[in-house]
Amino acid sequence: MAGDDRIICFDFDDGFFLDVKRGAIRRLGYTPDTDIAEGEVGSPDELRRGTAPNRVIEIIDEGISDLRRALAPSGPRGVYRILPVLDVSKGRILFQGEMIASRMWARVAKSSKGDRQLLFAVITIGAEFEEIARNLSHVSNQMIYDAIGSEAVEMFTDRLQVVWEKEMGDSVLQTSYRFSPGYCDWALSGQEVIFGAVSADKIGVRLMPSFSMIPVKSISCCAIIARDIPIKYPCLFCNKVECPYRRGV
Amino acid sequence: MSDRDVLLKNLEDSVSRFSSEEVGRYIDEALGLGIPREMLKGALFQGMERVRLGLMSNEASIPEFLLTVDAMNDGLSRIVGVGGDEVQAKEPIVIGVVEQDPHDLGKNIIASIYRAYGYPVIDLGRDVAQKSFVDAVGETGSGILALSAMMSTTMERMKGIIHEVKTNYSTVTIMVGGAFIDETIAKGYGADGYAESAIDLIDETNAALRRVEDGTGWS
Repeated sequence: MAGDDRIICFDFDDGFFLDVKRGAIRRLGYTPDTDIAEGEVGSPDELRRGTAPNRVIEIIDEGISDLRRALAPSGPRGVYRILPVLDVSKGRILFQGEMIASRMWARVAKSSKGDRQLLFAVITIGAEFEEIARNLSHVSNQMIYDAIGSEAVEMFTDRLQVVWEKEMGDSVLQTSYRFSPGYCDWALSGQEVIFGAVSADKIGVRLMPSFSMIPVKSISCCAIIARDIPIKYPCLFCNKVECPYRRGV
Repeated sequence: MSDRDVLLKNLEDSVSRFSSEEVGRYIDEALGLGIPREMLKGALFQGMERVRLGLMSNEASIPEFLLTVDAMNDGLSRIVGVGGDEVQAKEPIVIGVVEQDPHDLGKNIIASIYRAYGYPVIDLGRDVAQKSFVDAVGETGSGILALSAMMSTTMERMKGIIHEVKTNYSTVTIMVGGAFIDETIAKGYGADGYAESAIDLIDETNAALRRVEDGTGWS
């Protein structure tokens, strides 16, 4: 299972862009009509306006068209690599001379059964859409395009997760929820760990010394792989009840 | 209501409806009738304020407020563009995102709001070195410096910039903002002001300007 980089290209159908549109509407603080009356929408063109003003929806539609154009040249958008875990101890997940320093995720790894592996992934929508957004003269449009870009890269990541979960499922292995540096108790400097493990340059993503990714609309993440992972995220161990990222407890 | 009052009301409404096209049309019409530019600016401002107040009472959203800011700026450009300099300039503002930080949307929003409220803005962009901020303040004689950082790893750079600018230009008012910045951090860095959101940016900037002018510091 462990081995080389796997490079992924995605197909973009109308359903993808409709989902990006819905997600962008939500990110901007509005409710898509599809959330109010699920099942009433028959085609992408029928996505109605929800509570957002017409002008906002018009700009979202312009942004979706630009996103289609920006993504039209099919290219690699995701890369992941799986490496064996050597040890889990003292709040650290050790692998090939490196480690993930996170007490919380080490507890998730510790609770898993069977040989453990780590999956490292980087995903991007590329630089083209960001460049279009940056050149918009109106800041309202820039904000709306930013929401579209954020939603698109999250959806890419969801799609890549489907790919790796299928691969694990075929091998009768389970995966934890994905996690990223800068969240939970894993410091942002963990970006170096991910970029050391996977060749993000193969999809055109680079890391700045501040640990920012270029293009900005990129996501880096990890997941724990094992035969049985009874606890898939660490919120059960955590007493930070006000945490905005708290899941399922 | 006179024709002039109707026209000014239409101009105000067109801003709050975020229609740059209507704004342009009403400005052209108003200028053709000889309505003073300051009155047009006042109508634009009223339209924008209406949405800002709506934002404070949750009747409008940030995207809607920014749409009115854009309509306002389009209107101001048109007023200036057709001649005259009646749009009075306030203190010029130097703005930028600190070095190593590529996130410029927040900075662009703040710059746009400053412009809409009549401040000339010198935008240095993103990933700006400390020296460039200091040089820009010196070269432009700007009275306000606005710094943005969206990452925990880059916000620390503000401290050095603030120290350097204050050492060389002690009367400059420095505003800071970003995802991880709060008032305590702003004070700790030596900034004069901090705005939690776009809504209170102008009020907080005015408060910071008063603090620097009076030498009173944060309350």
